[in-house]
Order: sequence, then C-alpha cells, then structure tokens
Amino acid sequence: MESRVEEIRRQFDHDLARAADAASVEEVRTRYLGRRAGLVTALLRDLREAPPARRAAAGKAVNDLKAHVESSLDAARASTHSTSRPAREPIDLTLPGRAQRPGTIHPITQVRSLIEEIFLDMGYVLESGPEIETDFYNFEALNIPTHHPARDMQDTFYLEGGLVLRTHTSPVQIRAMQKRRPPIKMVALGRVFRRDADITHSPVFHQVEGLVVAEGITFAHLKGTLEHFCRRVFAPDVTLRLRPSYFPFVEPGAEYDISCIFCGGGGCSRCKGSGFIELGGAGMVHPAVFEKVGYDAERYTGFAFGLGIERIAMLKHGIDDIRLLYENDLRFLSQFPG
Amino acid sequence: MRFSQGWLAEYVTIAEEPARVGERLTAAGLPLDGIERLSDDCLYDFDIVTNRPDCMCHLGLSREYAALTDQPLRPPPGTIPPGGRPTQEIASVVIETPDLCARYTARCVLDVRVGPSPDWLRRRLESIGQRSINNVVDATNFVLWELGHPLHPFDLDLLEGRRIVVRRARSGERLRTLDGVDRTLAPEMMVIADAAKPVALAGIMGGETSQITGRTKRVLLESAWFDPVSVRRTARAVGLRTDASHRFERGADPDGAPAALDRAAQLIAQVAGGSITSPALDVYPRPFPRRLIPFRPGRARDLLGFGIEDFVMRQALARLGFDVETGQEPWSVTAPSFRADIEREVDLIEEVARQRGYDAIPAALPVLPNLDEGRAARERTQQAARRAAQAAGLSEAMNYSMSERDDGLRLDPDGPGPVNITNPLQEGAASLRTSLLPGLLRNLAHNLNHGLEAIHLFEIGTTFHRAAPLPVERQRLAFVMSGRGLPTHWSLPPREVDVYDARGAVELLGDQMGVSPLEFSSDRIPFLEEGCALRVTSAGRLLGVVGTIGASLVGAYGVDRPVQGGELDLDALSQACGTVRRYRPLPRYPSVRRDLAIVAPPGTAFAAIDRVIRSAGRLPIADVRVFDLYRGPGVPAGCCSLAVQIVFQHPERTLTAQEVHESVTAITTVLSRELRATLRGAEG
Repeated sequence: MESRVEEIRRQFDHDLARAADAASVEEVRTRYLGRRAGLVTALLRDLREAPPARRAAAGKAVNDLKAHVESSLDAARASTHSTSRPAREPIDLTLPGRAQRPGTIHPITQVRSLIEEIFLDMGYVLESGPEIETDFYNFEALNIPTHHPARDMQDTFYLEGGLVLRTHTSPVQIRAMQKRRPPIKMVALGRVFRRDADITHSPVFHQVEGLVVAEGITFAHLKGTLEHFCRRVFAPDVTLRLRPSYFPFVEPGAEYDISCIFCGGGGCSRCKGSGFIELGGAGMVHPAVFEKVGYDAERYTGFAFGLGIERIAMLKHGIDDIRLLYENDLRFLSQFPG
Repeated sequence: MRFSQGWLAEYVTIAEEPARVGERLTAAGLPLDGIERLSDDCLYDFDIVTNRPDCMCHLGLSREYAALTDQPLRPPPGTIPPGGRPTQEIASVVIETPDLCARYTARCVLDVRVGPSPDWLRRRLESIGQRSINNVVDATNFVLWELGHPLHPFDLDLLEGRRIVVRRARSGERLRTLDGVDRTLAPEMMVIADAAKPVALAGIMGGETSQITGRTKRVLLESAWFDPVSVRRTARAVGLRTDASHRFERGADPDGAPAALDRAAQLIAQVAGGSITSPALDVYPRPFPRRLIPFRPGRARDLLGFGIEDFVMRQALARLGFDVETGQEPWSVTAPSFRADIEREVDLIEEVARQRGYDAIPAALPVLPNLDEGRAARERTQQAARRAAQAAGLSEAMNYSMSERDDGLRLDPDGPGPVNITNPLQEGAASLRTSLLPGLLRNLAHNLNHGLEAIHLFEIGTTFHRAAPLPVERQRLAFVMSGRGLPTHWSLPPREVDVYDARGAVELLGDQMGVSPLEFSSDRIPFLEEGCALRVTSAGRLLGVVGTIGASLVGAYGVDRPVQGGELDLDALSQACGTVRRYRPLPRYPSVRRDLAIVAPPGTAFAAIDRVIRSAGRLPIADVRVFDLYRGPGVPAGCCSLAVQIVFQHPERTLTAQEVHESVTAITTVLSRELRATLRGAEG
C-alpha cells in the first residue's frame, strides 16, 4: 500500500507542475480528490480493507498524502491568480454587503456633542439645570424684573404654582455661580421653551449657554472665545462680527454674526444680502447679576453667551424648516448617520 | 420699525448710500432688517431694541446717525411764542396719582377746522405705513413718529367740566375705547378722566366719547409721562398694544413731554388753523432728578480689554448728548433725559464701545485654569445610553416636552396626573409628558403612514412628574420597534420584530453601561401585553419596563401592528452603573465546550435550565449559551428542544475529558429529575 501511495504522490506532483491555469488545477484536483473517482479518495476507501495490523501505518501514509495534495492544490490555486471556483456559485460583488447597522443620532444631538467637545477641549465644565424653573432663576436674577418689557422677548409658558418652563439656558449661569466660586468656565446645553411656533420657531428648542467669570475677564476675551468657537463649528476662515444689542443680564451687550457660510460674505439669499448670518447673543455679565449672586462686581468680571443649537444644525445641514427636526421621520433622520 | 430717508434727512444730512447708512447703524446696535427703494424715497426697516425707545422715532435715529458721522443735528422748531390765552383759563389738570403719572402737560388749540390733512403730512405718515385720519390726529401722530413722544388730543367741549383728572379707575367703571370696544375697568388701571368719567386709558388709548370729530372746535392736547409698569400691566390686562403703550412701557422722556406738546400744538395750528393757548399747563409733581453717573476711563479700558483713549471716550459720550465733566476721576457724566436706559457705569462703557464700534476691540483668549470635571455623571449616563441604543439599531428621535393630558392617563390611569401648562399654545399640548412613549408611538404612526417597513426609534429626554413642593424631572430613555427586524439583508430571511428584540436592546444597554446584574422578571404592567411584559431591575432597584406594548395603547395612536418597546429611568440606571471596569486575568487553561440538545416539557423556562446547569455541573462554568430553539417533528408535542452550549473553564488547571463527561452526566441527571427534561436522541 505504501508503495502505491508513493507512486500517486509522484504522479500528482508531476501533473500539478503542468497545470498552468485555474481550470487545469481544478482538473488535477478532480483527478486526485474527486469524490467518486479521485485517486486519493480511492486510497482512503481502500484503507478500510487493509489488514488491521497495518491499518495504522497505512492510514498515516494516506493521510499525509492527502494533506500534501490539498496544500499543494491550494498553493497552485492561489498562484494562478484566479478566483474562479467552478465548484461554487458565481459571486456577484455588486450586491450590497452585510453589516450590523447602528441607528442614527439626531442631528441636534450631533451638533450638541460637537459644541460640548469644543468647550471641553478648552477646559470648560458642562453644567445643567432643571427645565422647570422659578421666576427668580429664569428672570429676576437675570436682571429681568416683573413687568419688564424684556419679558416680551421671551414668550413664556407658565405652570401651576408660578413656575415657568425655562425660556433660556441662562438660569444655569445663576445656579453655577451660586454653586461655585470664580474662576468659572462653564457651558450648559439644554432644552428651552417659548410660546411661539412657525417655520423658524419651535416651542421647544435647544440652547447653549456659556459663562466665564474671573478677575480680569474682558470683552476682548469674549470676542476671542466666540471666534474660536465659530471657526471650529463652521470653518477656519469664518469671520466673527459683534454688534451692540440688548439683553438685560449683560452690559455691554452684543449679538454676534459670522460671515455667511454660503456666499463667504459677498451677499446671497441665505444672508439676505448682508454677508452675515446671525448666531446668538452675548456680552459682559451685568453687575446687577453679580450682585444677585453675591459676587463682588468690582473684583470679578465675566462674559456670557448663548446660541440656538437648532439654528446651527439648520445652517450646517441646510435644513429650512425647524419642524422637520421634531417630526422624527426616519427618511429625514436616516440622512444623518453618526 | 419703518423709517423714511426723506424724513430723516430733515434732521441730519445723509450723504451716503442707504446701504452704508444701514451698516453704520447696525454696527451701533440698531440693526437694519431691510431697505425698500421707492422712486422718491427710501424706506429703512430697523429693529429697535427694547431699551432704546428714544430711537423709535425719526429724530432719535437721526441723532444716532449724526453722532456716528460727527454731524450737527437739526431738531424741529418747537417754541411757542407767548401771547395766547392762558391754558388755565380754559381747562384744568389734576394728578391724583403722582406715583403713576410724574408729569402732565396740556395746551388747547382753539377754533380749529378739522378736515383732511395737507398732502405733505399725509404722505409722511403713509410713507411709514400709517393711515391718515384727520389733520388734528395726524399732527399728533406725526409728532409721535418724529419725536417719539405719544400725545393724545381730546375734544375739549366733550370733557365734562373741561377738566382732566389723572386717577385710578373706580371698580366697575366703563370706557369705550377708540377701537370701539367697551371695557370694564379695574382699580389698578390708570385712567384720564374728566369731572365725571374716564375718557382715556392713560398712555394706551383714548375714549370714543371725547375723540376728535368733524364737529370739534377746541382741542385739548395731552403730553404726559406715565409709569412704565402701570401702563404695561393695564395694556396686558385689557389686551391692547398700541404705539403709545409700547413707548411708555419702555420709558418716555419726561423732558420730552412739553417739547412734544409744543411741537404738536404748532402743527395743529398750522394744518387745522386756530390759536394756541399759552402758557401750557405743566403739572409735574415728581420731577426727575439729574442722573450723575461716575465714570472711570480706566475701568472702561479694563472691561473692554482695549486701550481706548480718554478723549475718544469723552467725545463719544458728548456726541450722544451726554454731559461729561472730566475734571477729576471718576468723571461725572449726566445722561440726557431721553436715555432712560442709562443707569450705571457699564451702560456708559457700552455707549463708548458702541460709538467706537465693537469691531475695533481685539480678540483674545482668556488664560484660566482648566476645570477638569468634564461631563457630569448625568451627562455621561445619557451619552452611554445613547450609544447603546444606537448600537441596538435604534435611531434617535426628539419630541416636544408637551403632551396631551390623556397621554399620561393611558399609561398610568391611577397616577397623580401630569404637570399642566396654564397658557398652552394648543389644547393638545397642555401638559408636560410623564413618559416618552406616547411621543414615540406618534412618530411610529407617522413613519408607518409613510410606508416605512422597519421602525426602530428611541428618545432620551426629561419627563415631568407632579410632586410636592415642586414637580420632579426624570431623565428617561424609551424605545419602540415595529415591522422588520434588524439586520435586514438580502441574504437573511425577513422577520418581524418580536419581544426578544426589545429585551435584547435592554440587555445590550445594561452590558454597555456596566449595569450588573440586570434582572428581568415577568410582571403585569398596565400598558404592556400580558405575558410579554418584563420589569427590569438591578439589585432590587426598579429601572424600567420592557415588552410588547399593549394593543389598545398603540391603537390609541393609530398603530394597528405589534409594537415592542420599553422605557428606562436613566437617573436610576446611572446609580446602578458600574464604575470603572476592572480587568479580569485571561484564562490560562483551555476551556471545554459541550453541546446538549435538551427537550424540555411545556412551561419550562430557560432560566430554570440555566440554573440547573450552573449548579449541578460541579465544575466552573463560564457560560451557558442557547444556540437553537426547535419545536416540531421529532420533539414531543408542546415540548421544545433547546440546543445549549456549556463552556467549562477552570481557572487553575486543564479539565480532563473524563471530568467534563461526569459533569455533563450530573447535569443531565438533575435536569431530568428536577425539570423532567431529557437529552434529545438520548431517550433510548
């Protein structure tokens, strides 16, 4: 039996050396390993008839041969540079692949995470506050007394017991100043509520609030911080513009714009020809606010800023109707994988 | 607010393009909203901020522009020559509420002829969108848009006793205002009355009975200062917002009252004829003090972070009409009477910065120690939960926090009810959500209606719960799944989502967040299908529920197919989360796997089989994995065949085939004894 094994091995080596392409390698395979008539297959079958005393030795020889044939065929197949395997069905690689697809994260959350990251990188701490607020935190402490016309700027939802749904994230400023001592560097991101609904206003939306308080904080620091932030959110060549404006809890107060990200500042329909896009409000913390939380307004100065997260998401993704963000249509959500 | 270029040009020279004018004023805090070019004029639309009522008129805006371009301002003529009949011979004014009305000035114009306005006056008003009414009323409106001070003309002969009384309304008094509405007044409302009755809501709107008509011969003109809070309260109470109330609420100019009075009287005489009474009545029970504000130029530089020179600051303030005494530090600055917004030093610093332009201020980053706290625990939990939900194939939704009152009742009929909004935007959104599921079920219905086949949504957000003394906010995660199960691929047979998808999502969440052990127990949960409802706990703490959402609940949201889902309390989950994961040394010895096909009688839970295997095996078992569940031919009716792989793993040595064999034998013995479960194919 062993001599037969040796003979087939030589024969095989000879045959395989002549096989130049994938088809002939396959022919060799069939000749030796074919299920019905393969030479090696037959040897394996014969093994059953071998006398028991010799079976072990013969078995080893045949199995060694089989291993040799298989590995040589594999190597030959690989070297013929062909993937054609006539034994299998053809593979259509234009069919989509298989993967466990994760769900998508809401674009508001994505923008929110981006903003958090930018401020965490700058060493800010993330603060949060309740969505149901008292009049004190939402208005009074922010220098907006009862019957102040500035309350008109923020149509408020009232709850039983004189509570309100916070109209901005600014109450978190007050809570943070009560909890901490300067230096303070914080941002708070969260839901806010205004009694207003149309294509650009949603009764529920999200804001970012930033606050920095320490000795020697200046308006120039506010500018530098906003500039850095806007460039990281949009593009490194974006320019920042601050304009005087009025918010009762800051003085000097400002609104800030960036050069239009659609036209680069030349004027287009998106920026109404102005070359600028309005982003949010900012300013130096009003001394009256420091007085409300018991800070020495002579010793400490600070800046605060706010902006709408929906607005950033809409600008970044070209979304023209804010209501799409709250409809939760999967045809919309699935456009924002990540 | 609309401004006409032609009108502005009466008070200041405008030599620039309108666009440049807009830019200048925008940079000074008076943002331009738009420009409309007409053949003979140009209309500006400026957004005037709440605290600048002085700019809500043409002279005011011209004043800002003159200061910015360093030009003189040309205010309109205003002085009335002496020599008329003294006003006090004809009418009288009494202020009963000096706390609410600091100043009241009045003049009469006698022998007027009420009629249409001359063209120039009509055109001026119409250019900014105001309707012309008659010459007398138009003259007062013109002055409102010119000087910014609201005035009111009365028909003197319709004022009982030719007397003006500024007082609080008496309970139940009535007044028909110029808009034709009968209003019942309350004592907190300030009115202008004659000797007998109210004739105007002070600072808001006049009354119909004393209005100027074609028959009016003698006009009594009012120009006063009313308390902002009082005007605002009353305007809100009666639901009126007028050009007058808008200005009084924001603070009128007490010195502007007599100036506006004189200007309007002259205009009336000019356009309607008649003679002006003189001197005017000027009742001023509560004169405004001069406001002296100390100003430190150094403080301005420190706050702005900008080396602006003293003379630039002095000049900026002077151009805006501030009186600046620079003799010693701090400077002594007096704000003009029309600038009610200027109260303290920082307000002056803003004026200086505004005049110079914020563009001039450099940009710098503050150098401060970093606060190394990063995200708070609550945020980290939310982030981890979001990541896990996403990994489970769920897409994030965001819904409003407001909900229907019924939403809460459907989920928790016996609960304390939701927190209610007292002034909802719409009735269907009058309370705050107590669960995130109703919103997601609405989203599900929306997506089904649009033909989507695989709907897997989650939301993380706040729910609100009635409690004393204050409502409680909880952070929750909820999810719903319906339609095709995930993953979907051409190579896989399509299947419907079932309750195991929901349970799997929660298991994944628990694993990823390091909550261990996460326990599931069958329970009756009102809004979940009976038999498909699980309570999720960890170390005895309830974390939430998961299962098949009840058909009647989903039906209430217009969904007619099975929905799987759950809701977890992230605040509770956060407390159950493991802290930092500790590394476990990798096994140094090989594990041994054995597959068993266990035929279990009806009603046998996998949990029971798992328990038996782990306890009866007598060897350390690393895992018990189900890899198939089969019912059908070959398995007795009602029974199922569970294919289970047991992974034996000893920490200190290699297990021998013999001891594993003995362990499996022991397991099968106990399975058979305690659960009457047998090995498939091993019956014989």
